[in-house]
Amino acid sequence: MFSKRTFLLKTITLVLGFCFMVILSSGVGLAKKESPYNATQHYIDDVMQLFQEYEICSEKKIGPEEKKALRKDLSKMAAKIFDYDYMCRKAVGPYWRVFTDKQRKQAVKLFTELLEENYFGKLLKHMQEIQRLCGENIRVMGQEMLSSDKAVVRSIIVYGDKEYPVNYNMRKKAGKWQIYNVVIEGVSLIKNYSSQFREILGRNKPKAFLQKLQDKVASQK
Amino acid sequence: MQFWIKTLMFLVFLGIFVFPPQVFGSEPVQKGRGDTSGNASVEQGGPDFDLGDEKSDNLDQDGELDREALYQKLRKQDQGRKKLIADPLEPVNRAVFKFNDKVYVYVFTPVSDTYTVIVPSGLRDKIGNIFYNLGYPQRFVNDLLQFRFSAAAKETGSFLVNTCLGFLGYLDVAQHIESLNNPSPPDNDFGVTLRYWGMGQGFYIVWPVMGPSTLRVSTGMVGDYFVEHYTDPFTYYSSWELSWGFRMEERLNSVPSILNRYNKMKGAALSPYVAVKNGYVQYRQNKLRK
Repeated sequence: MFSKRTFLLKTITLVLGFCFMVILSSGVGLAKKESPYNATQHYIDDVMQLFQEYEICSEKKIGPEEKKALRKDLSKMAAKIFDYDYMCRKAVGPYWRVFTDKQRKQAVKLFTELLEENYFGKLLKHMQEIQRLCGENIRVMGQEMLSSDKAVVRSIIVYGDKEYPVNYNMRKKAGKWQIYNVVIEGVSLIKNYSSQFREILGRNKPKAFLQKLQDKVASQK
Repeated sequence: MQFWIKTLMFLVFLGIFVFPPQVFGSEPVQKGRGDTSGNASVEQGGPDFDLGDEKSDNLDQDGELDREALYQKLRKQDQGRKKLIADPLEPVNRAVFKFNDKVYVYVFTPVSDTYTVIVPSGLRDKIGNIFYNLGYPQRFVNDLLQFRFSAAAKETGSFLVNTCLGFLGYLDVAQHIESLNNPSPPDNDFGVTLRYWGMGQGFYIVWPVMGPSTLRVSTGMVGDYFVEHYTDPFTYYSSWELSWGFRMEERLNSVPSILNRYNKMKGAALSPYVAVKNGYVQYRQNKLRK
């Protein structure tokens, strides 16, 4: 009698434990797959991992060849999480409708180059700025869902003695969360570019606008 | 002779004095007191984000899009949209912007480079902390004028703790005291007070040397100047030279970070004038949300 009861208890515990484990693992799996918070955190972790591989945080001197390789790796990582196509569309605004397919492709390409040059190229020129980001200096604080496919992820960047709130507007594209806007201290990157692009497009046709964009990108190299 | 020395110092002082720390919003969120909400991040739709309705575009007889007609139509619509800020002085502002750019490149950059060699970034941050702490009367008065008594009390508490225990604010001791910075009191100024009293932002102004501003911020700076002047300990206890030297150091200390931001913005911009105007107005509007 006693042993039968123990057997029953053991079975129930096992079954419950199993169920619990299944629920837990699927929950974790889902969260890992789908949350914008995790997507951002993974991106930051990957970048920090890359910094470690290149031994940037140990203040090692980096040669020009290594810098080139690092920049390439950073661009590759960023391309996975930044939705450059959508960013460009938003920055150009209604005028996007006038652009031909070829012009659209060219605009996205140039806009991506402009952003990359300014955010990776310049950073690599001033290595001490990257080194200040080493350690636990970027903290992802939380997320806010705006709808089923739009969200805001909030983070804090500690730079020197100060903290700056940096937020990312994200959108779900083909089941993947991607960043389409960065807001630093309340200043939206895309709104800023939008004001410039629309001012130029109000005076110049898409062709001339693209020429200006191309000249700007070329002047930075 | 002494008259000329005084006049010269006055001119130098004027140049640096009118280059206030808030030009590009250089006041960062203080450690532990940061506004982590960053309300402005939530996309607010509106005309800036509209892509328009592609389906409603007119197609010509061959089913091709008449791009020229569409472009003219969109241009007309876009000109009629509500702007972030009015800019009736645009031609003058653009000229002053160009002039300022030269001043930043040829005057402030060498000054800033020398200063950064003498004072390393860690120490600059600490000096910045002292000035932020001593800017307490301005924040306190404006908190009171906006009936933010809790914020005024927190400011007072932080000021006392940092002054007594943190060597005049060199160390930000108050950031470790939960009740003094959660939620953080905003970095208040008279421009925010004027907004509280119902004044609109007015139009955009670019001041020589000092840079971007709005009519409301410019009016507010006059109010803040009086608070600063009448609460400056040097005004009462020592000579004007010391007082001016002190103010000059405050401005000088913030120049490297302001220049850094300005250069980054200019480098990434396709139209620097529009980029700075938009960035400045967005920053100020975000400050009002806190």
